[in-house]
Amino acid sequence: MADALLSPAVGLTMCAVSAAAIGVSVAKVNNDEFGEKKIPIMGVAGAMVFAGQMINFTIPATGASGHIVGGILLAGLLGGVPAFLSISAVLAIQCLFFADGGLLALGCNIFNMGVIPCLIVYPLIFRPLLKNGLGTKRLSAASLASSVAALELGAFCVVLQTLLSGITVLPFGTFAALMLPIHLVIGLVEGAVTSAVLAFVYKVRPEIIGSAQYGKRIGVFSMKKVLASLAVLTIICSSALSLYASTNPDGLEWAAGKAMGKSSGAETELEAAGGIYDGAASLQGKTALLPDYAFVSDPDNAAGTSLSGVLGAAAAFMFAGAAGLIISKAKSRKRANSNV
Amino acid sequence: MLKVVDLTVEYTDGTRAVESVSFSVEAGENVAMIGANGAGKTSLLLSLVGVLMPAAGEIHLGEAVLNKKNLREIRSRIGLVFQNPDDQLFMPSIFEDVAFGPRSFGSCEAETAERVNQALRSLEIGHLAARSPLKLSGGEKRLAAIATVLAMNPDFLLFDEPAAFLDPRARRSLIDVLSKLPQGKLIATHDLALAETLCSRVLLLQKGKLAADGGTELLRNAAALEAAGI
Amino acid sequence: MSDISARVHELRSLENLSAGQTAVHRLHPLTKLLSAIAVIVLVVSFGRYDFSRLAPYMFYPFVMMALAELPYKLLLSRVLIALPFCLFAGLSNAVLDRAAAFSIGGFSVSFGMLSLATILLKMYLCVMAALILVATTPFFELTAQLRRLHAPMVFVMIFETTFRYISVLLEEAHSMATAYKLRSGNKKALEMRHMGSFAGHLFIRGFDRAERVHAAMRCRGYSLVHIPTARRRLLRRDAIALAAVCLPSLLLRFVTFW
Repeated sequence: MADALLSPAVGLTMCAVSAAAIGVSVAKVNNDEFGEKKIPIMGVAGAMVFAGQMINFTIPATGASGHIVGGILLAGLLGGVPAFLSISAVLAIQCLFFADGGLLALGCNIFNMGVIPCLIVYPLIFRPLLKNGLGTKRLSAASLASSVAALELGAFCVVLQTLLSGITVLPFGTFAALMLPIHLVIGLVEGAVTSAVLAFVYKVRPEIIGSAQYGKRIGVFSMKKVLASLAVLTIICSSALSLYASTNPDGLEWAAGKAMGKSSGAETELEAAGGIYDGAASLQGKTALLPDYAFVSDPDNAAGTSLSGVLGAAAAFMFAGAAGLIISKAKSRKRANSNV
Repeated sequence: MLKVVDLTVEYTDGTRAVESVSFSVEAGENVAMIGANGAGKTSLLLSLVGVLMPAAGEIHLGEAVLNKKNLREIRSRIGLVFQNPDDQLFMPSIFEDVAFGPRSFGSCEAETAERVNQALRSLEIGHLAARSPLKLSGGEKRLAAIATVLAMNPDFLLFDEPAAFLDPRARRSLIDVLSKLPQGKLIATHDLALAETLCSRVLLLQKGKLAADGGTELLRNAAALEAAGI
Repeated sequence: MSDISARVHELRSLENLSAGQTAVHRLHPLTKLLSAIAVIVLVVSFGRYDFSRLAPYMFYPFVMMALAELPYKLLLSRVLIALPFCLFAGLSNAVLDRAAAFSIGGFSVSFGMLSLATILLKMYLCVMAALILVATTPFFELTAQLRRLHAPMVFVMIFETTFRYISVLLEEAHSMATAYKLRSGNKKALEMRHMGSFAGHLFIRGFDRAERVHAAMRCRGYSLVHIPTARRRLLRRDAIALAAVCLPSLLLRFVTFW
């Protein structure tokens, strides 16, 4: 997920949800007597996953190469809550230093790649499958099922977040039909590698996996409560933000657009985008949960729709570039003078 | 005085890393500990600061005997420098890293800053304070790791292979720095020349047991070294 | 596997840039953080077709890079990482949304193309805002600021250790991968069936290292100490810088000039 495909309402809501999940997890670690011991381990484990993601491997019979994502793998090694905190730190670093995602999209990314595998799939699928004891076969089954579930759910959330943001006009069905099968394949590969790595670690150092699964674990807390509170938080944030969005800046534009009536542009666009938009727009009308620009495009007011707009943009680019150049020149001249 | 009596250290799986070892290090004395890979040098060092708890035997530091309750105090008085500085430098900047120890032991900010600066100055690496450990050379990392321990004002210093990974010049300046530090030292090393330059006594460890405890002439005793696998 | 060493290099090059001494580097980290967030949220809040209203925001990256003496090339190359997914979403718009928006000299520009250009521009601006933040703020100042903002100690600590050990473990992975490559007839990537033991070894080594790091921390009295962070006042120059970024940005967002 990237900043450019998000609306502020969706982005900020997901940031709040992920921040809450981090807050709850931190509280769990703080309350646990061994939690403190796990902190350096969580940090190094995060770095470990980061390094693991950099290893490319070839996928048999395809010629393609891939790398692991590592959510379920880390949860299998550390347990759900510590793995979640590690992954969150890794995602924050990737967003800051490697331009992966973006600051606003960080909330979405932590949710899709952290909350889903570590706090939802792990306790609901991975652990129950290992309830009756460890073993290579059970580990494989749990890894495979969890990885597929985590990637599919994650991909589904990316689709939802993108569509709710209203930046793309891809219909829901098409988008989902593109994303889900791709992530099914990725999930199977991820699951295969995850099970191979867990089996290897289990063979060499069974105590690592044993302590994650049966040891004094942190983060045994009621999933129902957490999910329910996350859901409530989502609703509160998104309604607060969309209220703001619809009464404030965009409210103006929206009212202006409405006053002018439906423009031809809006009509064609709705036709082009297909029925999902009508449905979504009416849902939007009923719930008012989403900011207006998500579905009702307003080309008359989208300003740039004319030659003058393009010229203005070109001029702005040029002036901005020139300003940068002038400052750089002035600085290097100053430096040259001071050296003399 | 740091005194070890009949010390035995076991791994969690029950194998003995160190077996009934006894020796002592006087204040200000430099003692070398040599032995083949896997002879138990690192385990012995780790047990002296209670990272590995002794399975049997006692560790005396002055009047105190190391136990679970006085770990904190013992650790502030015995500083361990790890073999790999990357294990020891874990904070985002050298200043923060060196300050970690004093802060953990409850120094106020003014005192912490004073201690950090003093530690860095005594190793002549004051200019590295604001740098990130990512960007230091091997030699600089080694000195920074030593500084993190010095800042806690310990009475004794333990070194695990201090000259590992160093180029000849960095090694020479390390020897120079170590010889100037007033604390008593126990130095685990394969670098016999370093041991000879710095130390007045040598412990020879063989398969977890103390095979010899004597003067530096041990370093030239080919038969004893060969028997210990060096 | 060359991308492993490339990543280490990327990390270090940003760290090196952040040690600069320009006026931008000297600003309070909070100032830089707030400016970046303000620019990103405002840029993202523009509509699907607002390309020309977004254009003036280009002043932000250009002027900031010039003031902070950051190399254009290095940062530009980073932007490409975010490209594929944005391009996919943008291109699908260009295909689906074909209604003509306007025409320039007989060439008609569709809404879809306009939205593609808008997405790419937004992507550029957002990525640059984040990169400028880390290229002008050393990592320890960033985490110190997080502490000042009362972010949970545990998380800040994990964040710091992760950052610290990324380059260490990347180098370890890199040398393992090199060793693999040398004995595998120069394969570009690992075979998938070797991943279990390869990544397994890497992870076990990581765990052992984590244990040693934890031991090193304990030796220095580690417990979740509240690391006190020196207070740092917001100076007048911070207020001026913040105003210089936010006021024009807000004005451009809420007033339509063309």
